[in-house]
Amino acid sequence: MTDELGLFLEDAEEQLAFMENSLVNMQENGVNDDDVGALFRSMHTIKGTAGMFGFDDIVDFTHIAENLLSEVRSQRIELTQEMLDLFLIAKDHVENLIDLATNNKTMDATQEQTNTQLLDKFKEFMSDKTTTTIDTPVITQTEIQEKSNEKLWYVGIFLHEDFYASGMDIINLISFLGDFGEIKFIEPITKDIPTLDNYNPLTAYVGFEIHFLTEASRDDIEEVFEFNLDDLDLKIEEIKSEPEVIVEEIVIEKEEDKDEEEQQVIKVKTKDITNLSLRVDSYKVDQLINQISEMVIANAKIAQIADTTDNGELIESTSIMSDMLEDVRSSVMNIRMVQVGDSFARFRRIVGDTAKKIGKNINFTINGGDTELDKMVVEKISDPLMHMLRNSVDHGIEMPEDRIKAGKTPEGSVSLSAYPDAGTIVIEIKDDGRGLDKDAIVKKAISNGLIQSADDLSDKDIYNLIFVAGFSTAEKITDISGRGVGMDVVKKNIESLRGTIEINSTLGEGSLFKIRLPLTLAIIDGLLVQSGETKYIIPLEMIQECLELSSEYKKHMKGNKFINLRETILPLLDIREYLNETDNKTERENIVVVKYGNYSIGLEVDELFGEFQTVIKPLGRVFENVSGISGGTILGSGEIALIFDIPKLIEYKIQNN
Amino acid sequence: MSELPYNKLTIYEVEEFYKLLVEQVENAESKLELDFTTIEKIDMVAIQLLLSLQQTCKNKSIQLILKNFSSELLHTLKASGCDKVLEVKND
Repeated sequence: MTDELGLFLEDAEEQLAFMENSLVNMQENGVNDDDVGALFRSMHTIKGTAGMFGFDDIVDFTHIAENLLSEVRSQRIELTQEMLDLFLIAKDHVENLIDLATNNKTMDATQEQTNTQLLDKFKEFMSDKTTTTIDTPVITQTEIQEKSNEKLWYVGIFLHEDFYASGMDIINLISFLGDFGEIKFIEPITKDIPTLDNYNPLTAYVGFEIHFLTEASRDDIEEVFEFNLDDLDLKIEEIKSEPEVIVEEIVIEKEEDKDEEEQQVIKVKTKDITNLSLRVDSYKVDQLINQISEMVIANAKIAQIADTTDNGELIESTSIMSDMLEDVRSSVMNIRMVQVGDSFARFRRIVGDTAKKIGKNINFTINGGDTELDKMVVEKISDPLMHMLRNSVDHGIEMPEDRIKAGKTPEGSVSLSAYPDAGTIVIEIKDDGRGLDKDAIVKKAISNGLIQSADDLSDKDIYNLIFVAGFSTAEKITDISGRGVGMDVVKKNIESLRGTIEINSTLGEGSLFKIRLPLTLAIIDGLLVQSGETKYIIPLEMIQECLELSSEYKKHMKGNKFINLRETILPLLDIREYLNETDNKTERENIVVVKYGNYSIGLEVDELFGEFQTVIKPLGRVFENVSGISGGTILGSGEIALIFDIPKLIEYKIQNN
Repeated sequence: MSELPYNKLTIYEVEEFYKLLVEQVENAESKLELDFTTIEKIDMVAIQLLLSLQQTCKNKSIQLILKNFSSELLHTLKASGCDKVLEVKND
């Protein structure tokens, strides 16, 4: 796939998401101008960009859809519920067409049929509702106003020699430009075309000079060529009309015009600056994060050396440098942060469609859409969430008649919420359905040979059985959630993001799935400790306090593995013992109290060194079975420290208590 | 020459089309005629090649006749402004 095609796909996916959001929003909250406008723009953009690549099927289809939307926009046709449903199907169809086109395939018989049916429907709506008003356009005041905002631009396009390798036909680009205004004049620059004896058929030798009348801004014009800015040179200049006969009155008028024009330019510029957004390859951001990470390590080393000197100035400079690096790091990390709402919005349709298919009524709500999370985490969590939501709708919520029998409202409710909590992000899926049936889970687990009996199992242990590979409580496999992707895969995906999942459920009342995720994957703030001969990092956000394991505590422990901390029992995990460190106990032993979710344990370690900013480096396959270690890092001294996977350590302690 | 052996002239056909044109020019004595009846689609890569052919023929004093462009093809030429520089003869 060429870079340009990759960009097209990325852009198309974004436009499709906009389309779906607008449509679902209008289904729920009624038709409104903003969403109709967004829908129209998305359809128009896909048509235009597909045209650049010569994807005729997409252009033909979106053209008709766009025409209908244009009628809706100008309020000649009312956008009905039926049409919204139709546009949702059309959106899926466009998605299929894009998939086919980018994979060099054509429509099969079924797709052809869908294509024709949808187009016929569109045309039906057009012919049903359009009246003679189409042929008698009324120019409104706004339109007159808009006309007066038109400017004439010179657009020079100079193709690079390898332009044709981009797979783009420049004529399609020029036609797309024509959609935004009127091409008053176009002429090819042909002077560099050689004769056949010196000719390479795949080399571009031409350029174009265009006079273009439009209301669009310079940026809008440039955007038409955005996929090819590396393959051509672009020159865009406003063509100012020559002043006419200079008489005093006219000069005064011109001055006024100029003021107005200047004001407009200022207005446009301000708008551009506030709305400026850049599309940057995520690889570049990752590279920047890696480089900053290396700087963090190098700086830690400098700070360590500075501390050993008496040079106050050096120590101060190092400290300023550390603060600045921290700022840079946090700004860079921020680039990756996106609001989860955009990604969550598409679940509305999935829940709606799933519910419709099986005849359930569901009120789906999304809370905390503005919560920010690393883009990579958002993308990777999407599939597990979709699976769990489908599960909630399919297995969680009862059929309306069963709900009425159970004394509930016929409409079930499912909510998806996100919120920050102690350095992590929590995502919850909650439903008011039938809840998890512990007995059914135990029975199934025993019959599947996963457990012998449920005697020693807590409720949480029983619920966790649904995450074991090969477990499925569904009596029958449905095509909604029984797709072979089990909850074990969901859990694995969440754990690969250094997250955890826990379940709370009450039979007959509903279930709550709580996913806890780290804010980011690349860097963590940690506490550097030593146990035996190895240094370890404990993620700072999970640390509650540090204590000395004093003789007082030891006396009360009486050989038990817990202490009484302010009247609560705190289980202890001896790291030396857990990781088979050599017995090298120091005089002063320390406890680091860590908390994850609702659980706290104390980690027994030998020495505490203090706060340390840490770049997470993967440890490779050799360590993949070492539970409780999530990665490694290189210290300023060049030593390696291992990063504790606190959720795993807590899980171990709970299971072995 | 009779009708061209393609139904479209785009980047995918251009290398073969180039070889064909070089051959045709070599064999042409005073006149070269290309019939576009079968061509349904043309892109800038092919139009550029025709412009090179036009110049080559002019230098070699060969009369070039490009004929029977469909309305679709003429539309493409116009969209690129090449209708002003490429001489097309339609019956």
